[in-house]
Amino acid sequence: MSSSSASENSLALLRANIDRSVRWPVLLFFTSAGFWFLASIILGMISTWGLLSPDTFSGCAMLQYGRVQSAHTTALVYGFGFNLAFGMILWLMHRLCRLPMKAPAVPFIAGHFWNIAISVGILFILGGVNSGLEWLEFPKQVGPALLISYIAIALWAFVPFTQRDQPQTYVSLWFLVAALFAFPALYLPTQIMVHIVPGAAVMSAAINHWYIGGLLFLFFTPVAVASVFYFVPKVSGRPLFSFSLGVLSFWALILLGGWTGLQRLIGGPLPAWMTAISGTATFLLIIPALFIWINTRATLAERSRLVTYSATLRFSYAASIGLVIATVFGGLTTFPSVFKLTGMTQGALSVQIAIMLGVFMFAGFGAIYFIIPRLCGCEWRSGSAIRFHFWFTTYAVIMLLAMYLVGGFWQGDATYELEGTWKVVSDSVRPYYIGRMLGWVLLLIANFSFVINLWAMIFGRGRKAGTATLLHEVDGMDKDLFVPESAETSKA
Amino acid sequence: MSVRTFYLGLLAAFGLPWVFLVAVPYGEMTASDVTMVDESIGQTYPQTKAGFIEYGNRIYASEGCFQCHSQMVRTTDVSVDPYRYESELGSPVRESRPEDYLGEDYAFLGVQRIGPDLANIGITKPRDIKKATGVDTVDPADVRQWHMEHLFDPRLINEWSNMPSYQHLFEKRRIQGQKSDSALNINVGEGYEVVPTERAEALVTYLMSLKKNDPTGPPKAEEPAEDDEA
Repeated sequence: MSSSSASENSLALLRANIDRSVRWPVLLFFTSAGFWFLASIILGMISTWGLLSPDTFSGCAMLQYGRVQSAHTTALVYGFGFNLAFGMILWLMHRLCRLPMKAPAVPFIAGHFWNIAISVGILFILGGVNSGLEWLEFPKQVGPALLISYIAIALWAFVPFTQRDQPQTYVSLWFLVAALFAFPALYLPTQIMVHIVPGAAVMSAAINHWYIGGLLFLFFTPVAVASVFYFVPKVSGRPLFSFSLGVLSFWALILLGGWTGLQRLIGGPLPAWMTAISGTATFLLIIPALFIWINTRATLAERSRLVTYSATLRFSYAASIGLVIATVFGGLTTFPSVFKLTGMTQGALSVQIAIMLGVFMFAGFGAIYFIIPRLCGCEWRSGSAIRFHFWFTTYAVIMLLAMYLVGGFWQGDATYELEGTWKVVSDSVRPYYIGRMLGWVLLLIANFSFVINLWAMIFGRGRKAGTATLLHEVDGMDKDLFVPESAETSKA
Repeated sequence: MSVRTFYLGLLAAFGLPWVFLVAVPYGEMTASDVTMVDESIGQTYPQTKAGFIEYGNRIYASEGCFQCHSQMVRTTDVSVDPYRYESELGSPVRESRPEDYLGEDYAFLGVQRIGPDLANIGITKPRDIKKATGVDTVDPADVRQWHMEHLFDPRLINEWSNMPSYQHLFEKRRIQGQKSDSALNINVGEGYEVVPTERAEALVTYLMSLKKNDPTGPPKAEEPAEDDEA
């Protein structure tokens, strides 16, 4: 046996050890994310239906729009978003640092506490206890439980970073560690300055928006980018096109992300410089987004046809495109001429949808399609099921984004109709509620089938074959793409 | 990049926005004293809010009203908010300022406007009723009744409205003796009446108190310089 194949074998053994060590916490977080995603979509459907037919749930207080919409966003952010992020972070950190997880029971138990805390919080919201802060609607008593659970999980993800024995730090690690610090750096000051030592009421609202902007661009986006920068080189079998461009995009994203959020309050009762800074930072985020997309595209280079075959690559590449679209949306809606129409409409919310669903969700699914076979010891059952998941999810997200943004334009335009009642505004946006409903239904169908496939894998009902499930039969011309170093085919 | 540079960079990335966008304005706005006294009528602005209004404020949050309604009049360069009020009131209201929210725990600036802005509903609703009925002086009880009916079933008032019905804030009960004073003027069956719960009373009291048009000091930029006064 040659020394290179011996080292390959020991690396494969190490990877298998790592996968075994992180198995239970990561499976817990991925399955929880699946559950919360379906719950969040159903709550989103109920809330949208409430706008179309408000008397449907008139006898049921907990299904009224205000409560359900709050439950929907919190389920999406803390249920789906954080659980998926925890799973991705734990697996990626241990793989990148080449260290198995010690005492996996700790994040496993902390994960249960996290999920119990958000379940209690959402039940309280539906029951009529709501703090009134967007994305922080949980009653304030839930806050400490969330923070303690988070710290336990984050510590377990951070420890391998301090103990790694690698000559160079891969760029994904910078994004992941930044994301790990971001949540407490945003959540703790927000809780203190809004709930414990509240200042001026307007400042509480400003802090709330700063928190949302930070969570989008300092937590969810970095986790998504770390995943894209890890899986695209891994699956395509090519090194990242430019490490320097990766580091540049990291600093551009991290240094700008913390200034965003307040642009939604342009023209409001805050000093104009605050919203102007936020607007400028949001607009400039197009730069790191472009860097990230260019780096991803250039990494694929002549192997870009692999996107046709690999689920991980397809979802990850879609996430990098989604990031450009999301930041263009964000940039556009800060222009005064556009903000005049989209300000205080559902158009302003399109950026949140774009980041959470168009970027983070795609990157997360890309990661799940790679990680789950390695944790469950079997392969996804069918390529056509993954294709179905990809296309239905893509159409659903495009539909939702279009409905939020275009509907927002008409909603804003109608407010300029100064004569007459609010009926003009209500009527203008109604067709887009129907479109939104359709978007949620598509997303539910796609992800219901995905969650079933996920559970089938966990119960070992996947394919037992040793090669990865491809989305299509390999075309004769593309056979040379499947070189041994391609991770999906070699099952590294 | 060394780990040390990385941590310093993170500190700057998280710390600088927090200091300049959060901590400094937090300190300045919390410390600023904008109390004004109109000596001609002996009124202090901003006006103190009663505890029951505070309770109504919490119901407003609990029911998620902020998801559909804003409470801010934005500047005319990015909105027509003041002119919307002008079309209802006959004169524009001024743009909202931080001091309009003093005494509140949290400024419900809003998520989006599925329904109209409520920053000044305490002024606009009496005005609407005045226009509709032609009376000179509007009885607050009539305004209260309008809000109650609107909350109970918004379609009773505007059949096109997509606002939810807040029937859970009311109690339907058998009339015992005389009809209750607070009963809504709606027919819910022979021998029955609908009365607001304490939560509905608090919410309506809060809505009727919403008025973000109190006199305030001029913005700093407009304050006359000392030299001019001399």
